Amino acid sequence: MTVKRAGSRSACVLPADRVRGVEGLDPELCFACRKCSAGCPVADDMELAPHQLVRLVAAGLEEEALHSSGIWLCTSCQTCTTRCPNGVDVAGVIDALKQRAAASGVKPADGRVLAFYRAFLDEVRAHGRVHEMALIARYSLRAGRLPGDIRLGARMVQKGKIPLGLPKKVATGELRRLFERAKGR
Amino acid sequence: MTVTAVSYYPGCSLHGMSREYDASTRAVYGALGIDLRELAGWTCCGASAAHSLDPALTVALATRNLELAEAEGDHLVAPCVACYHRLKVAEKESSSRVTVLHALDVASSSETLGRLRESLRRPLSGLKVVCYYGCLLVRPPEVTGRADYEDPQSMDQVMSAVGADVRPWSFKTDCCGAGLAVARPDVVRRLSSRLVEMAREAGAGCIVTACPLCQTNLDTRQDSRGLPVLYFTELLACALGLEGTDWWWRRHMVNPVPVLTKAGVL
Repeated sequence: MTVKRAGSRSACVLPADRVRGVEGLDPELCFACRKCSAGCPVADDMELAPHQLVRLVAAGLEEEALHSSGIWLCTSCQTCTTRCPNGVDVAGVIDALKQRAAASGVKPADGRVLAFYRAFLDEVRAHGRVHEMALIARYSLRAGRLPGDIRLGARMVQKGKIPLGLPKKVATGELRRLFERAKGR
Repeated sequence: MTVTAVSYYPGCSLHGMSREYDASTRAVYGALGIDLRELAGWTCCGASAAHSLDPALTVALATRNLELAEAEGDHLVAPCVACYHRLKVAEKESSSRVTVLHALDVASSSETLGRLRESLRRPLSGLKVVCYYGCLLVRPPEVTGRADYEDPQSMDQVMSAVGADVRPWSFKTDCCGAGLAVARPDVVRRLSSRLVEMAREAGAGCIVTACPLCQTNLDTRQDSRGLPVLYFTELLACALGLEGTDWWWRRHMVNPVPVLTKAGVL
């Protein structure tokens, strides 16, 4: 079964049961008690709160959820998953939505967090470990802007909290193969 | 004193912005007879980026480190809560025979608590603290195996063992938003400011953390008259009377020296 979202963003057609079908996430067990959204630290900043995202997925309207830029505000704090009385892995559902959105090229209205995650994985692949200065440079290039708190970054460099030395590489050959295997899956 | 050796996964932050956490962890555990052996060739656990973008990488990046640890022994200690969580998920998913522990788990074992009490040189009795555990050390319990995830006690016990005045606090596990610090400082500032405000209201002179991301996030978003944010290992080093700690305090954005001096800790 496929769901085609009505309206201007209907270009991508997605199998509706992709997130619904992931073992252990169980969005169909949601009875909309809203406990997840009540404990969510960023629910007020999301246009669709966690319980609404879960309900959309359970109803087979995953694409609506994929386009919600609020999924990128999830801090993965696991409060929702921990408190759900029915054992729905709410944070896992939101992770699955982020993964699907990123893989299918859905561009969030605010792309900063997606740019950060991509920059982070670029840095892991390039050096094996993450170096703060290299990460900030990669983020700035991907996001097309400097981090919002750039003055704080400068103070951290002054304090020596962000080292300026050239990053060393660790096990990068092995990691390249690991990234390629993951891509092929 | 018997010396036990255990594999140590410092994680990226402890080699970069949080070197004082690395140094204080090694110093304290060394003094307690626990030899932390850094895992050779360790690589990044993937943190929140991997599980947000790629289901295969999520487990693979962390599992690689567990495989390295299997050759060394039965346990792997991580001082970063984000690393701990990713490694713990990988431990479960890959059915690894290595048990992942957070540095706080080692400190709060009854044996280490006993050693802490025996080695106490400078009780922290003048210091009012709140213990901030953050999210991923405790949640979800299916991953962390903790029963007291809404009101954790391990850091409270460790701080009490060295004489600190631990204040009751209902914000121990509220999220500070650290993972979004670079991309969405607007959202993060609101979350971290509230935690600092609530710590003050609880009567704390400082916040104690067990994670480089929580510490940095809470420490860097205050003005110079703010509330110091310390690693539990830094305070243990004070309590054990360890030397060579001066450079740690200079790496804090909110200078902890006045509070520690006033409390008679330094």
